[in-house]
Amino acid sequence: MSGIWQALVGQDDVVADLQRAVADAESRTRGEPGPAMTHAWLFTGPPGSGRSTAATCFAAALVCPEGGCGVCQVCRTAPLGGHPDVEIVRPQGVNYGVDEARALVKTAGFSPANSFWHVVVVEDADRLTDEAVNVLLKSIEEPPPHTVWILCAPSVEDVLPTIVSRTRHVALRTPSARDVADLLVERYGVDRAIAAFAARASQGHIGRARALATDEHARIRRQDVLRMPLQLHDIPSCFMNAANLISAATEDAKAITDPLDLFEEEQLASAYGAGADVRIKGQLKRSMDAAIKDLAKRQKTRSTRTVRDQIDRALVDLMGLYRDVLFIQFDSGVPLINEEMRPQLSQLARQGGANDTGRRLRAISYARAQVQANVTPLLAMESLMVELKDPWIRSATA
Amino acid sequence: MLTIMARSSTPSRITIAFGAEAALVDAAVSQTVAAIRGQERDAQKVTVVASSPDGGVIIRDAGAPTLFGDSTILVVTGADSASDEVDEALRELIAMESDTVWLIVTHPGVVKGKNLMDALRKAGAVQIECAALKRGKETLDYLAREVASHKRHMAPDALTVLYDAIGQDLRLLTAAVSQLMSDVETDPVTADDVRSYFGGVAEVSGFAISDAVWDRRSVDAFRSLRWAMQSSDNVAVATVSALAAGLRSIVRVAGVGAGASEQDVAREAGVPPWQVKTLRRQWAGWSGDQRRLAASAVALADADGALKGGVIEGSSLDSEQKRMALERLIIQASGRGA
Ligand SMILES: [Zn+2]
Repeated sequence: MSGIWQALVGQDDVVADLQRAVADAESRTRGEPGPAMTHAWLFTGPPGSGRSTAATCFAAALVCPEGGCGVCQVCRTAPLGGHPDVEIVRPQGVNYGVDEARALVKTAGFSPANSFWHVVVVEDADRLTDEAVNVLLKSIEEPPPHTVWILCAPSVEDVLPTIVSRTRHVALRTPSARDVADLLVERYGVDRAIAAFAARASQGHIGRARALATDEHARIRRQDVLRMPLQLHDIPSCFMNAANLISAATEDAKAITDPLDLFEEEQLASAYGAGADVRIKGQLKRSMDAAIKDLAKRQKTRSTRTVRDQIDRALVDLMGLYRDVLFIQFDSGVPLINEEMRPQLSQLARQGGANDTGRRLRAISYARAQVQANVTPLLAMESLMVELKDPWIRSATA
Repeated sequence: MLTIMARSSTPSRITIAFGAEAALVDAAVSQTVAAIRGQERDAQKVTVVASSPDGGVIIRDAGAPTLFGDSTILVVTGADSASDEVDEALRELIAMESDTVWLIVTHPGVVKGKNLMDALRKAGAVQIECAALKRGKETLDYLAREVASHKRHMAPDALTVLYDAIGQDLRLLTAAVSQLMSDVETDPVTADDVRSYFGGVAEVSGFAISDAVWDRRSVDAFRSLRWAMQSSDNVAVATVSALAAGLRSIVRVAGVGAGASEQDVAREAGVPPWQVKTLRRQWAGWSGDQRRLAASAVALADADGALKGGVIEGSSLDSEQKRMALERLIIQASGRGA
């Protein structure tokens, strides 16, 4: 497997299908038939399976002049929403409503700027309201000639049948810990023991596994998060841990988005011929200012989303930790995600019953939903830490 | 002042606060505790949430004989949803007829958990009625009694204006009467007095609301919120954010050692030095009520989600519901528990 498809692991069948689709898409640009390509797709797979990676890589491959080389500027920026012909939409609130859907149909109708296709990726299509789906249906059924829709959802059951019947289905599976570990050893030359740890710790999430295996900073961050449950003694320590989690997430998100921001700003400036010595005036200046403003807005959205993703990753790690605690409490003999923390986990397991652990797990799920629903992240984490310390706290309110 | 028990009454070994009116239940519990401490000054209070599976262990611990015969006041809340462990432990406890444990059980007066309540009554429990007051006359009568307990007078239409302004929350009504009595000197207090007390003031900052809430001045908090919402419909999210910032400052200051100087605390906690004294005072005001303060953090995040369109599908609010959600939050955060 090569080029941009390297990002997908344990999904050989899916990659083969998508590569055929990209080849046929290329035939179509020459006016030849291309049956493996179609204009509406539904990608399904559990979180971490690479569902959105597959969707965004496919989108990038469609607009890359080399069909997904994986190294060009297009391949590097398009999956992150940095290409004008790839629209990546992720519902920000709980639901995606009619107004948003109408706006999206309109954008989808625009002609591509730099390539043959204009690709719209809708992540979390399961969050579309029925009304929003109805607005999208017509465009999904008969899109403008250059438009490609890619909808993502955890499973087929999560979207309306009217969508399923109008799209071609691509199903991803969660790769096994063994698949992931093998990949880390073979492709990245990671030590076998570290690969096994990273595969377990990532719970089947490839990108995460790779980061944990190759980046010490990522391992330290994860360790910091996993230590938090042992540090919740009173309200001040709960709030402090919440603040630490948020500042780490913000810092890590900046490390991801800052280089992208800089690259896009330079690109925009050079597109307008602006530079250190060149000053632009009049109509061109106004047009550039508008473009800068628009870019800043998109960067802000991406930054917010990246921070949320970092927080979510920390919360997934915490869920894994309490899942382990629960398994210890049930004495189930199931292998732990965090085997190397067994003594600390046993200590947590002794501090309460399975009932408490269940409540803590629910509290984490709820906090994840809160962060996705735009609750102030710090506030959501303060609330979570307080609830992790005392899972019965909600009954303290009259 | 919400007087539930006659001042002279001797507490019973087992007390049931029976009914759904949280304010009355709180008052019944705190007055019972006070009466017990009137007899045994050093009695330790232990609170157990009946639905908690760990509750059984705590109750058994409290019931176990101690070396020095120390007394324990065991408060078990929400007995309608008692876990099996708690139900069993309570039955064991009353069978022991311990003379070191004072048991106070709260129950919202529903059918669920009746069997356990009957067992407590059979064991000699005294029941304090805490049923919710009916809207209208019953609540107005209650207000009139509260006014009388301050040895003051209020015109009947003034009572109605007060009731309309505040709504059915008995805790807040009680506090409002008490504050009106101290802030308004004319007697009888007239409807106009009440109107001007709760009526418009132009600008109220989120900071003022936050201060009132964390000072536990619930009536002031409520009044400020009313004013803020009069001047703009869009203060809801900003108010939650001001409350969260206020709480965060208090907690940060509390996290710095008590011995540190105001300058050091300000630097470490990231708050202006002139606020440190206030923040410390506010924290001290919650020292006996940490769980409720912690619960406020949870309630704030919940409110933020609700005001921003809901975290769970189909839970978005209209503007009237937003107002009510905020008022509930403020009443709950600034209130005092059992
Ligand atoms: Zn490329």
